[in-house]
Amino acid sequence: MESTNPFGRFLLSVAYAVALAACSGPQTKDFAVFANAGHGFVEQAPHVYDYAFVQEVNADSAQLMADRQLAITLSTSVRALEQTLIARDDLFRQRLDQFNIMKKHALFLRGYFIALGTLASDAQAAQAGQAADNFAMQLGSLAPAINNITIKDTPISGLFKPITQLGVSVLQNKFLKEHLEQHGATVWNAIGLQREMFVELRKLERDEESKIWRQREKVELAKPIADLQTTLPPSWGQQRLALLTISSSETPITAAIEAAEGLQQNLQSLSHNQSGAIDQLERSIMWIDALLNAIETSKRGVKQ
Amino acid sequence: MSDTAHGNANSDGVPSAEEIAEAKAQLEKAKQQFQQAESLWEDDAFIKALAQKPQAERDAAFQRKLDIGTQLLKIENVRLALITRRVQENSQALDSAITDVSQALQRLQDVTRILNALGSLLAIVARIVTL
Repeated sequence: MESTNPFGRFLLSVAYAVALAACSGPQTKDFAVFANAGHGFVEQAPHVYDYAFVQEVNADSAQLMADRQLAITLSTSVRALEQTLIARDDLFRQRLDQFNIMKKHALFLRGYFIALGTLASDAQAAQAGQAADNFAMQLGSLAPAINNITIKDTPISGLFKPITQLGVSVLQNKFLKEHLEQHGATVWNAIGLQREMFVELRKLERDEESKIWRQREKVELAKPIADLQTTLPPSWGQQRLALLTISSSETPITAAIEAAEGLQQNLQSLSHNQSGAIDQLERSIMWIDALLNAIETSKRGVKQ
Repeated sequence: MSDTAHGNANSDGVPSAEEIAEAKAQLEKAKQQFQQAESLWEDDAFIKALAQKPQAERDAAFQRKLDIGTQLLKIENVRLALITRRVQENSQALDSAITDVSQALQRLQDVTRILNALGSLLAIVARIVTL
């Protein structure tokens, strides 16, 4: 039986208005998905910095090994090599400090994405709905006649919970949208700075690929196999595999750049009131993990 | 403090967008010069010729070769520092964004708390009415 009760009509109109508001622009779940993807990205970022540091030190060691060969060829003083090693170690310590700043920044971003994810979670609306349910039950026990009022065959007491949940979702969405209006640029810049650092590291990586890796191949692989007077080291085959396993076109750094760009695109979609496709972004984040794992596995192979 | 790059360096010494672009261009130029000097050492004929030179000349040339590599590393560190200095400023702005999200969360939780308080109040009223 449809109620003609004014309170019942009020509840219906509230539900209608709330449902309309909830349907426009990105939904709370879109923010939750974005926060979750952002969390995945910043979880991987410190590993990418570790990877970059190891690659850069290894590349410089390969360069020093080649320079050592040159010193032998030219019969030069070894003191220059010693001093160079000390100077470069100092520079790598500085670089480690720079990477630590980036890692701390990633931790800040992690804290942000966790907070955003909590705000956008269903749990908030569910808790409010539970409290509303309890409120309706108490109201029913105080005035049992309330339980007899129905709207489209649904008792009023049964409507409190869904309406409150929907209301909280709209409120969540409003907070999220307002937040993005105020702080979207900061988050955009934060992701952009991580991306910018990865782009710089990719440039370094490319320089190493074209120059240092070739030298490493010469010193670590070609020289021992061509030296027929001495026995090949047992790890020679695994070293070769480790060197070849590192793809020159797709590395954890390129995957991190792709993921950062995906994250920025999604943020832009949310800022422009559109819900963005997040599948591509999730794949990029998984790809960083897969590439890091592949490198770890090949390194473990060399150590064995 | 704004998180975006402005025309001039701010009071914390964080470089502006123009200063960053200028610094990057200069660093790139220096890097190319060092790389050009380094490429000389890939020429076997040059190394063979150098090996015939007196000890002092060989030592000095080798020292220069090592210095090139060190200078290139220094340039890279400066390039990365151009980013890390801005990162420190952005961390402060992120802190404020986290506070904003936490406050919104607090306001949502207040809704639940009010509903719970109303439920408790009604329970007390119901007990009083039945007495």
